[in-house]
Amino acid sequence: MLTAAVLLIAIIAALYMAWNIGANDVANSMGTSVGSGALTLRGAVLVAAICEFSGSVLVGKHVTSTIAKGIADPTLIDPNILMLGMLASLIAAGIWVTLATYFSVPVSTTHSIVGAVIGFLLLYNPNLIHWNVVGDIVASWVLSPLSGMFVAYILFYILKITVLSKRDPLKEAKLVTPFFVLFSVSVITMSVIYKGLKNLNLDLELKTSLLLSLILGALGGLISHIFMRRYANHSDGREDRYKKLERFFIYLQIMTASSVAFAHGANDVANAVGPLVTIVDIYNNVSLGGETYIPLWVLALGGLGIVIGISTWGYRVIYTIGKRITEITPTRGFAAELATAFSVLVFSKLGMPISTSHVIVGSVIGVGFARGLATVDYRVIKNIVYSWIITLPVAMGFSAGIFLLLKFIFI
Amino acid sequence: MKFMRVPLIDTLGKSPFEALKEHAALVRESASILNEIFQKLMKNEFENMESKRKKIEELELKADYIKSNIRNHLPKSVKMPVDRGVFLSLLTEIDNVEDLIQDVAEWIYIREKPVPDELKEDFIQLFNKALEAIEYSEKAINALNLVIESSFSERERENAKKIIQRLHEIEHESDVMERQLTKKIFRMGDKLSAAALFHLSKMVFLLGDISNHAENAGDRVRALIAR
Repeated sequence: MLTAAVLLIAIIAALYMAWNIGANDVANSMGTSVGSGALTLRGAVLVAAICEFSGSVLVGKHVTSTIAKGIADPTLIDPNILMLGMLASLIAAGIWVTLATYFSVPVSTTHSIVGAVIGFLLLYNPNLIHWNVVGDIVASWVLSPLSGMFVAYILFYILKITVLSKRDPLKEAKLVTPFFVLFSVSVITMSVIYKGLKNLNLDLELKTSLLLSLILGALGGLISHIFMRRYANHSDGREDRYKKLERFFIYLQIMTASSVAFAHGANDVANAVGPLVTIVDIYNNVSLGGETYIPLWVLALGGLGIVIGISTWGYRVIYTIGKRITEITPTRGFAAELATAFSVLVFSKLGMPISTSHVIVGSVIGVGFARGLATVDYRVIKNIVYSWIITLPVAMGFSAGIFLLLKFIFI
Repeated sequence: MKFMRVPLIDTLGKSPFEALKEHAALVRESASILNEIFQKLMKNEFENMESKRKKIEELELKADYIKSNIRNHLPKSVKMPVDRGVFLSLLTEIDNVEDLIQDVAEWIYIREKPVPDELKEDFIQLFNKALEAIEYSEKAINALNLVIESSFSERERENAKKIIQRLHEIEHESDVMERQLTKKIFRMGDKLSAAALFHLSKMVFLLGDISNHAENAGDRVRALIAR
């Protein structure tokens, strides 16, 4: 009886958390594409929904296990307490993200859920917390902007020497594009098939999946090459040259924006369904020690929540951003987004819960370092650091409070 | 809209380079109106001066607005691919050109008296030099934009440098004309009233100063595109 009630509330709470993720983070991937005219608002919402959903269902598994089981050993916690704690964490993180969103504080949904889980554990039994795991997570927070920055710098630098500085940039762009497509498609395919398709009983080893990814990537590159041949070649005036180039990159930006949405779904769905998985396991009386089977429906639920978030609030955010953002042109957006998708997917595969928002800010700053942007406001870095400092204690406090309340009600 | 948080957007503002281009376009527009005023002066016609002067005044106000907008949106925390201080002084120089255009218009309007025929040819030459300087300062700013858009490609930098070189030549030519015309005015000294002498020589000075500030703007662009 108790577990059924908790499970029901937890499903709603997980949906709420996923809604938060979809409503707010989606602009990170799609805002720039709408702004540059690469996608219409309706198109952006559709593409985002498809990519986020498939990302969370196909790749979401790895990160999900880290949050649910990495921070503490669930076998050492009384199942009823654990269930309430996870529920408290979900509600606390959801409320905090909504609040922070209201006050325009750039917090990370990832940080919030980790903070919330720690908060409940501190109240229950601090000795259970695996601080080294927590340390890993903290390290990956610092790594997320840094990796975005580093990869974006390199990507934009390559773009600079292969395309931007050439006599006829558009012509060069058409030569280089298939390789960029190859890279993107390979990374995404790799993230899906390498150790990813256990649900479909398709567990491929490294070599096979690497080969398969490269083949698919090459196929994508070939298709892009055929498509590009139809695109007008020469450009007339000097001024016109970069404008034409930017228009050409709109198509590539749709690809990278989709990759970011996919990577975001893969990475961030864990923040909503991670705690839910534990509760489902307890409900099913599965022993918590071993390798947990994460039901597909849980991931699908998270994906659904994200899609609802996109279509109820996300589109408004995208719309506003799309109108405000004029500065990030398709070439720059392409480099930043490809770097983000790459970093997020790699970290997801490693099971590190990094923050997508922070990766993309890092990527933009990386393009700025490569002298790609007219202005970059470094105050945002300060805001991110503040959000690291503030999110953990607040989420901890919230979840501890809600945990006490739930205990009072249910036990 | 408050209900959102997108750190990505907070990182970026509107490009100050684009705004600078808008400012330079206003300078060009003012210059073409000043040209109308000047052509009338050369034909000894003085009607409708007031409305044209007012138009320039409005354009100058608009340019001022853009200028302060750029300054307000470039706090210390904003990093640019170029030196922020030099960029702001480029803005100052271009704004000086706009101010001088307005000054010349006001100065012609203040004393609506014809220019002596023997000086007209020299005035026309000096004025056209100033117009050329303005034209090239806008070219320099557009070239700067291309340097930024191409993320500092060698070719765009070379192109900008050529324009700046031409600005130096224009300024030098303007200097020579300014000296000769001033000499000519003072040689006519006895034939001119004191008021005419003062009015004409100051006009020469103002026209020459346009080229000076246009050249300064070019120098700032050169400093900005240096690696």
